[in-house]
Amino acid sequence: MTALHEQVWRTLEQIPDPELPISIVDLGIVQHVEEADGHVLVTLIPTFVGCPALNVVQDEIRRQVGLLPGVAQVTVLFRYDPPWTPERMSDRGRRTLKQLGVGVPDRSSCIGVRVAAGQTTKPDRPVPCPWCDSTNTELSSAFGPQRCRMVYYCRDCKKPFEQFKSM
Amino acid sequence: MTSRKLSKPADLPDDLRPILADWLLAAADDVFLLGHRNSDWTGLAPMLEEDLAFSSIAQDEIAHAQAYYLLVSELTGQPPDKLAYGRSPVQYRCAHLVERTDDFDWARAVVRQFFYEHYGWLRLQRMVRSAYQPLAELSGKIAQEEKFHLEHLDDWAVRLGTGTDESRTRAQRAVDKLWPDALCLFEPVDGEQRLVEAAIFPSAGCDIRRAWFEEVSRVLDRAGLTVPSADGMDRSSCPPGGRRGVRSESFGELFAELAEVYRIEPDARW
Repeated sequence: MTALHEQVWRTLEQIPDPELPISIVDLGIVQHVEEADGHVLVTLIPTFVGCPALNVVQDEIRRQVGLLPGVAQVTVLFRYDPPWTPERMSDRGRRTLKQLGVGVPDRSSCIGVRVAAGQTTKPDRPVPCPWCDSTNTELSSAFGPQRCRMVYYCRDCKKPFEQFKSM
Repeated sequence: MTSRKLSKPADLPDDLRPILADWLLAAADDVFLLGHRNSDWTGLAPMLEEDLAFSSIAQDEIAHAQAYYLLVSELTGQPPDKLAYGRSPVQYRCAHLVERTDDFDWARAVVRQFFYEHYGWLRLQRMVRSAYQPLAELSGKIAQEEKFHLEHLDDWAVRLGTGTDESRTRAQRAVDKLWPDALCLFEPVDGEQRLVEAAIFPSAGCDIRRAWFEEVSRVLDRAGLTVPSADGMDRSSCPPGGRRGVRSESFGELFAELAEVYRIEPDARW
């Protein structure tokens, strides 16, 4: 790994998702970084197809990576293979989101590509409340205010919370 | 059948490229029009949760349409916005089902989406095995999202069928009314068999149709609704329809609304 390659990663770690207070690296959407002779190629795997945040992220990467000394050109590509799942979110990202009342399914409950094999999207175990950790929760709706999230309700602390779709 | 991987447009045989473009337009147009139809319910769905859910589903469908238009664009060089808004009606490839108005009858909106979701899901399961890699990859991602739609619409079909007398009556009326259109979802685009043979769409038309009938019947049974006749499940029963450019009477009004802004300002940048 070149010094510039490392610098690119460090820069990406500072770029927040426009809708979440975590970086795009913690979110797990940076799949690949390549650098050769000042040409940087960043491959992203979107959380959702056509997520409206993608253009903002793309512009921000071009701008910030473009400012690094020695960078002549920045290309941002979107790929769907492998498909993003919440499994890819870092522990730091998970902790930050939990503090804000947004739950992230644990890695073993992500169904990922197994979806195609006919598995249900319904979690096979109780979903813990990010506020009070109670598992006495219920699904209010599989569709929340954003495409990637569902809405749950905690019967113990009587609060609704958002949960990433366990895809 | 070939196992050769086709990783970019240039890997496709010249004669298959326009057929695939046409076939992808069918997939794109289906979800583009359906997403537009469903967005009519934003603010009007029967309850707040459903308002969010149906709007979210509409948003997913339009995002999927955009992704399919991009694949077409890579094959034909036409810009995605022009593909979405700038064709003449006969150049659209959507099935009549997705053109149909629901007249703000919730049961009809649910049944239209329910019929489509089962078809779309079966089609995706085949698309993820496509020899054309850009299609296989995109389909795998879309399948993750569509699984939530499928389960949601199954829940609604059962909820309406097992709810009140009125909800059951309306659901049954919608099933009966939309059934002939649903069977024409399977109408092939011209040359589709070539894509099947090249494993770009690894499926035989009648096998997806039979699977759809079984899946839909299973849910309608659970909902206590009557499954219309299986007659017409064979290919020959579909007169030339949406996939070959014949538009239903519902299309004109929908298209006028959909493309209004584009026609005023075709080169607008967002």
